[in-house]
Amino acid sequence: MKKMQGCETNGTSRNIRIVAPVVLILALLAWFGIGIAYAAVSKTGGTLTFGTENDFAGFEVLKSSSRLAINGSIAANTIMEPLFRMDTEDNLIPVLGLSLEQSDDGKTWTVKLRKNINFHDGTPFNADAVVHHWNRMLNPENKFRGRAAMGPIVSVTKVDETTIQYNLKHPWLPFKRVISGTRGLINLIPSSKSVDAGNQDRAPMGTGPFKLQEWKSGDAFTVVKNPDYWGKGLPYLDKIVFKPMTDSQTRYASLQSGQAGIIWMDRGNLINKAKADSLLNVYFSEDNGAEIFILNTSAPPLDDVNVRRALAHSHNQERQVKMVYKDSIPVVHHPFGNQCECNDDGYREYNPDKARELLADYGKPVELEVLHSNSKRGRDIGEITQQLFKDVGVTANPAGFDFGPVIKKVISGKYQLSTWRISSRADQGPALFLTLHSKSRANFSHYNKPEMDKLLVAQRMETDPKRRTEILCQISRLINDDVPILYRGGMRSHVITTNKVEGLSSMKNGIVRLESVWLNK
Amino acid sequence: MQILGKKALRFVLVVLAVSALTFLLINLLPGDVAYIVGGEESTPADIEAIRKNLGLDQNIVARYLTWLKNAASGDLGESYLSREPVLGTIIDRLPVTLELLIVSQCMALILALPFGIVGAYRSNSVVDRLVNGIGFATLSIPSFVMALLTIYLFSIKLRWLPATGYVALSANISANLKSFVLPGLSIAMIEWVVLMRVLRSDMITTLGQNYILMAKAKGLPPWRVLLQHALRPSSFTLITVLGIQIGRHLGEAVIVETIFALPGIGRLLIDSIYARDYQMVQGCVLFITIGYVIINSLVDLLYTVLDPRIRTEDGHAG
Repeated sequence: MKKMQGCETNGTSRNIRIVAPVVLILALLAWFGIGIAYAAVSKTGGTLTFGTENDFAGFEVLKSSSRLAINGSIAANTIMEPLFRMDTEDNLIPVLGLSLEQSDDGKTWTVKLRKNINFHDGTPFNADAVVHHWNRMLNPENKFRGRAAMGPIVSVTKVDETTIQYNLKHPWLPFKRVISGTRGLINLIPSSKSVDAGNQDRAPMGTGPFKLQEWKSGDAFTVVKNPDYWGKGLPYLDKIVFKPMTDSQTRYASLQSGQAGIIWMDRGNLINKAKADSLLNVYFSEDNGAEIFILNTSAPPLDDVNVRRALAHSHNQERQVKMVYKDSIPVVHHPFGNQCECNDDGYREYNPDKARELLADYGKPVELEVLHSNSKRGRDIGEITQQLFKDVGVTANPAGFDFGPVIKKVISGKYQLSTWRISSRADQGPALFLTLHSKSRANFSHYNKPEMDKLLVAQRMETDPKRRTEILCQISRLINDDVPILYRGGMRSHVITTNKVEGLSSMKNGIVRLESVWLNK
Repeated sequence: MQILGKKALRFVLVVLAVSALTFLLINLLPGDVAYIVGGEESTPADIEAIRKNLGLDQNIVARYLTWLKNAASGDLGESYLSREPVLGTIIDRLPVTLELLIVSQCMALILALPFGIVGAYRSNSVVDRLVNGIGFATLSIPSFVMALLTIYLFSIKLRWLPATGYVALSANISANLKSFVLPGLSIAMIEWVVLMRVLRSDMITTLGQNYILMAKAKGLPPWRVLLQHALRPSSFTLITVLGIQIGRHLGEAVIVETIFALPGIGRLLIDSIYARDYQMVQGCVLFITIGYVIINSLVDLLYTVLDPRIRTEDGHAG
């Protein structure tokens, strides 16, 4: 400022020559500064409406199951936080945990926790809160249905106020991946006070960037900015309103007309429509898991492996993906997603001639009931499958039911072939163990193969990543060889936003992180 | 008093019959709520535990009697899925469905009354034929198609009205009314035609009566003849149909509330049926039954207001 005053008072041309560029630079800096400041300011504030496909089922982990669904998980992640997250490259990102160390014998993992953080109800986040949460899930008396996903974790103990230890039965390679998964409620730490008071299910409390303002069942689940959030400058939005919009056309129309800023979408035709619309953006994550047909291998005719193989050759996954999902999901040969790359997965390609050959060897007519959901998508699947099977001489009778009856028939073993799903999760190992091990109570295909049992145990115990990948590939080959399941497509999660929504960071397993989102006004 | 007593007895019998039938039907549907609660990853042991926890391991008669006993004291139980009190949830959702009902019926009447009157006054004229033609065209469109068409036109193309985004009346009156225009219209566009046709037909008959000829002979202007002398006696069937339509309204509400994401009883009912949430379904059906009976009783009362002869007959009877 002094230099500028000198310039004005002296009035010499030399001074002007020196000062003018300085003034210009200062002015430019000021302009940029204002610009940057304005940009920072403009990021904050506003309300985002998120159109979900259903209302949420509740946020108490012991009562939860797959009912929470992906949209509920997204909302839960705005309120509660995990110890760690994983990025798309499988690098661990500290959240409420700061560091993770494995003991020499591989059976203990020590986590240092972040200090000076409070839950929304004012209670402190500390080792007690983490231990309380985990041991409730691990306590056999609580009969937590997600217990199997925790593999060999036996207990979680407090070391000091900000340190905890996970104690495992044996070293477990997927441990890091499992404790950093943010789908479902297992890794999201709730307030112990809220849990003990029985409030967590309908009024979830966490340490997250947003806190629950109001939940009007069937109407809106509203979260507002947590002013005491530990993440500096976050979140940007003042409020997020999750609105259940069951009908996908209405959800899409709400986005087009501006009532919603972001919507969840799994309808291929609308995803493709949004991709062609310059006013909308489509974000997606490639997840593991798969849409499948589950085959009852314990009852004729599917107890004959040649019949199952014939169905695999007559089943055209590419056509299913194209016609049912409009190419919005990938074709898959195994349920591991990017978790493993197998050079030889033994996938049985569409080959009707081969199918006819195998059926001729079987020598008897094959007639099947194909269970599917009552929705339009379910009916499409039933009709396409009927046509594909008919081409090779198999009579398929599609039978549409609501979600509940389909589950009941499959769980009680009163089915032949049904639409089913291998859900996306942090690691598929524990789930596959449940699905395919002959001694598992959740082996609904009743598949029984000692070789598979050995592989499933081996993948659990293996600590070398390369060797485990090879075991997973062997499992894939065996699945494709024996055909207890047929793939109908992979898992890919989509959200669509208007072009006013910015800052959507990477999605993982369908979870969109909303604390870094802002509205471009 | 005797009539009221009879009506009350009939009311109780209707409610008992409907609740028993609903309980039976929902329990006969394949699949139960335990499978929905447990999801695809449950084991048979998990399902058994859930069933026990929800009391579904008891037989159907015992469960119905327990429900009935609790319902008599005003406790409709808890939703199996959300674990919220059924009564509280229904009361929360009731204003939405009631408002949709009122808005849609008002819209239907606003369309039906003038066109019905004009149609009767100028029957078989060009206007009458045109209105009838348009009416039958809209009548043949299912409510879900009508809903999607209105969303496309008014929400996406013209951007005049919201496709979704229910706002409570207490929060913002203007936004609330806006959020009900399209859902109301989707129902009204189908229902107005029936009302219009019924009114037109009755009014044509009324306009042929001697007292109307007398009124015309006295030199009364047509609007006075139509509105003061012909409309009231021509509206009995209209009122009856309106009462029936209000009862039928719930069928439309299920669809319209789903499409427009309105948190009303129709959507609650359909979601609960899909989820086999017996408690919630029972509660909703009980409410709807009571509502239906009350509305039809009100329609009966309205006759006496509209037609003094019925009052007199009642008086004699009483």
